[in-house]
Amino acid sequence: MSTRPAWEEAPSLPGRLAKGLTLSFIAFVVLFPIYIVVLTSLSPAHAVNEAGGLVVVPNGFSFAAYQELFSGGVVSRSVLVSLGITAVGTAVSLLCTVLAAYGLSRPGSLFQRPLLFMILLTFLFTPGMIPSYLMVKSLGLIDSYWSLILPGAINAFNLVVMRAFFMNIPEDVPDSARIDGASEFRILTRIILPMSKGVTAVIGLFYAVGYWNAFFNAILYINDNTKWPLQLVMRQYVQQGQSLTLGSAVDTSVGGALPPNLAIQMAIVVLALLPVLFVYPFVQKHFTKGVIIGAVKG
Amino acid sequence: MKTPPEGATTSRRGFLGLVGLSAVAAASGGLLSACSTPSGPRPGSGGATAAALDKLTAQVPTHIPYAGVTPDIPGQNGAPGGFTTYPSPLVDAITAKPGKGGHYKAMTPLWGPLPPPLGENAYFDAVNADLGATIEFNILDGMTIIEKMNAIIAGGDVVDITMIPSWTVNQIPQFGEAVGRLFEDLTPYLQGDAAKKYPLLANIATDAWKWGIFNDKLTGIPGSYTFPMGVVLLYRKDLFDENGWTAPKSADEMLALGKEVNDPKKKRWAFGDIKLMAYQIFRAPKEWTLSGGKLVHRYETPEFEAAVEFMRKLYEGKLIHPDIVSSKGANGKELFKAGQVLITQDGFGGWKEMLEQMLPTKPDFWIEALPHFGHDGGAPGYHKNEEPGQYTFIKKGLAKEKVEEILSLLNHLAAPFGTQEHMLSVYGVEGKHYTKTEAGAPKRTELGLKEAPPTYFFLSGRPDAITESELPRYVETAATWYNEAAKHWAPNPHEGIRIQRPAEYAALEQPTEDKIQDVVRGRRPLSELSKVVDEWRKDGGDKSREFYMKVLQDNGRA
Repeated sequence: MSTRPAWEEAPSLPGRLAKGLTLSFIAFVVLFPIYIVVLTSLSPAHAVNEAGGLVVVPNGFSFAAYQELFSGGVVSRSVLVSLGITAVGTAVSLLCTVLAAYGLSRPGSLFQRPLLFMILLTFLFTPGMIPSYLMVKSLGLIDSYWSLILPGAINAFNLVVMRAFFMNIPEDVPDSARIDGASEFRILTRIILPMSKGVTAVIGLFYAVGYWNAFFNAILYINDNTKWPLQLVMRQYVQQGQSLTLGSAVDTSVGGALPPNLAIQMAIVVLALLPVLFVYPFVQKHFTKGVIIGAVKG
Repeated sequence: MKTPPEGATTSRRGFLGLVGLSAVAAASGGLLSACSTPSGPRPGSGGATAAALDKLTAQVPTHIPYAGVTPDIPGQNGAPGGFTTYPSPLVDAITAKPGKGGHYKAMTPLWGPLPPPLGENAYFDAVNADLGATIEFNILDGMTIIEKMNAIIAGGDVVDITMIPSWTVNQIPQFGEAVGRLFEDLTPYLQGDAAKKYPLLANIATDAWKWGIFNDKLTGIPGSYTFPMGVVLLYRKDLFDENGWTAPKSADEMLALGKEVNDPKKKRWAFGDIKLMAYQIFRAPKEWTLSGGKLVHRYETPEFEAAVEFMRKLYEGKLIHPDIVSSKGANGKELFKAGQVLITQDGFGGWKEMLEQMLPTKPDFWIEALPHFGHDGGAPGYHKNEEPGQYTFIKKGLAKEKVEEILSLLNHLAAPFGTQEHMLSVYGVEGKHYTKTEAGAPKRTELGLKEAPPTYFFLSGRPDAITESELPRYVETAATWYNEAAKHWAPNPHEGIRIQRPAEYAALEQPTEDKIQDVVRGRRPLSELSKVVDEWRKDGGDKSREFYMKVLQDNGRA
C-alpha cells in the first residue's frame, strides 16, 4: 500500500498471518452464535429435537418458524409498534438533545450552569423503578406509547458528548452568521448541524438502538397487550421454556400452551436483530469521527 | 435507556426456589425492610393460636364437594385423582348464564407467547359469550411479574380482577398492608354458607381457602391446590428398558447405577441437577424440624450433610452433565429430552409436558418419575408445597352487584375437569380450537395453541386432577405414583401457617446456598460444610430460629 509512511517497515508475513488469524478468530467468536441462531431458526422441528437444543450442523431447512411467527398478528403488530417507537422516539430524543446541547454549549445562555448540573446529576442518581412508575402514572401516561419515549428522552451521556462537540466549533462561526443577521435557530439548523453530521448520526444510532432494544419500561408502563413492543413479545417466546419448572407453583400445564419450538424462538431473535444489523454498517463510518473527537477534544 | 434492575429476570434455578424449596427474595430483597421486626404474627398471617386456626375454618366457605364428575383412579391422602378415560358426555355444571353483561379487565401472568387480543380472538369471544360478560385480559410477562406487581401495588391501580401467584405475593414487601387497601374483602360474600351461591368455588378444598385469608379477611380466591409435589425425579424409562437398567431403590444403588450408565463418549450422562430431590431422598427437612422442643434447620441436620456428601460424589464421579455443571442447569430439559441426561429433577408438570412435546415426533420416548425410595432403602421425605399456587383478587370499591357478578363468573370458571364449562374455558371451541381424539380427549389445533393460552383458567381455582387421558399409561403411572408419594410428606412444624419471612433471613439464604454449592461441586472440602453452617448461624440463622420459634409459639404449637 502506498499510503504507508516512509519510516514504517513493510509488514512481515508472520506478522500479517498473526494479525489475520487473530482477527479471524474474533470474527468467528462474534459470528458463530449468530450463525447458530439463524440456522436454528431455519431448521425443521426434528432437527432441533435431534440436536437437543441449538442446531450447529445443518439438518434440513424450513421457513415454518417464520410463517408461524407472522400468522397470529401479534408479532407483526409488535414489529410495527417497535418501529414506531424507535422512529418517533429517536426523533424526539435527537431534537431534545440537539436543542439542549446547543443551548448548554453556548457561553452565556440562561441558567446554563444549573441546568447542566441538574442533567449531570442524573449520571449519579437514577430514579428508582417505583418512583419512575409513580411519575409516569401521575402524568397519565400508563398505557400510552409516550411512556416508552418521554422518561428516557434525553440521555445525559449523549447530551454531554454532543455538547462537547458543539463547544469545539469556534465561536467565530456562529458570530459571523450573526453578523449576517441569522437567528440562533437558523445558526443551529444551517451552520452548526451541517458541521455535526457525524456526531448526530452516531447519537441518533445510540438512541435508536436503545429504543429498539428497550423492553423493561414496556413491562412497567404498558398493560394493553396490543401496545407491546417486539422485544417484550420476544421475551415471552424465548423464556417460555422456563415456565415448565414452575411445576406446581402455577399449573400452566392444564392450560396447555406448549412452548414454541426452539426454531420459533430463534426466528424471533433473528427478527429482533435485523434492523440493528442493517443500520450499523451505514452509520459505522461516523463512529470514530463522531463520538471520539467530541469526547477527546472536550 | 433504562436497563432492567438486577434480578429483573428470574433464572430457572430461581424459579425452582420460588416453588418453595429454597425461596430467596433476590429481586426485592432490599425492599423488605417493612416486615423486618420479628414480633407477633406476620402481616397477613391471619391468626395466632390454635383457636385462631378454627376461626380460619369458620371464615372460609363451607366445603361442598362437586359430585358431577369422578376420576377413574381416585386420589388418596390429598393426591389428585386420575382420569384414564375422558369423561363423556361432559357434564353441564352450570345451566344459567353467570354474567349480566358487565365488562371487566383481568390481569394474569403468562409464561408464553401472547394470544391475539380481544376482538381478534375467537376463543375470547366464545368464552365471553358463554359467560354472558366480557373479560378483557391484560397479560403480564410472567418472568417479570414481581417488578410489575411491585409497581402496580405501589401505584395502587389494580384492574377489576387480578391473579397473583402465591410466590409473588410472598415477595412483595408491602402486600400484607396493601391487600386491604386494594382488594375487596370477600368474607361477606363467601363465608360459611354464603358460598352456597357459588357452589363450584365451594368445591375448592378448605385448606386452600384458609390461605386466601389476609389480615383476618377472606380476600383471595385460591387457585390450584392439589399438586403439592414441588419437584420430582424423572428418568428416561425408554432408555432404561432398552438397556436393561433397573431403577435404583437407595442412594447407593443410585450411585452405582450412575457409574454404570454414565458414558461421556456416547454423550450420555447419568444425572442432571438433582440437588433438591437428593435432600428429600435423604429426608432432610424442607426448612425446619422440631426436635426435642427445639427448632433445627435443615442445614444443621445429619440428613442434609449426607445429601450434600452424596451430591458431591455425583460431581466427583463426573456423573452430572458438564453443561449443567458449567451453567447452573440451563438447558437441562433439552438435554434430558435428547437422552444426554438420564435422570433429572423437574416439576411434576414437566413429566407430562415433555411427553406431550416428544411423543409426536418420537413415539418410543417415555419418561416416568422414579419409584419412591429413601437413601437407605426406606421411605423418602417429600417437601410439600402447602400454599395454593395463586390467588385471584377483586378490586376494592366495586359496587356490590359487580362483585357478585365477578364471583359468579369466577364460580363458572372454577368448573372442574369433566364439565363443559371447563372444556370451553380451557380449550375453546370444538372444531376450531381443538379436535377430539378417538379417546374423546381434546387436542389443540394450531389456532387453539395460538389463541387459547391459560387465561380464564388462571382466574379461578378448582381441584386438580391428572387428566391426560390421551396418555392413559401416563395417567395410570402418575396417579398411582402420586397416591404413593402422598404417604411420604416430611413433617413440617409450620404447616399451614402464612409466614412473611423477614428480609434479612431471606437474604441470608442465597450466600449460604452458594457456599453449599461450592462444597457440593468440590470447590471447597466437605469438612468445610460445618463451617458454612456455623457462619449461617452467626449471620442470622440463630436469629431466624428465634423468629420461627415465636411463630410456632404464637400458633400454639410449641
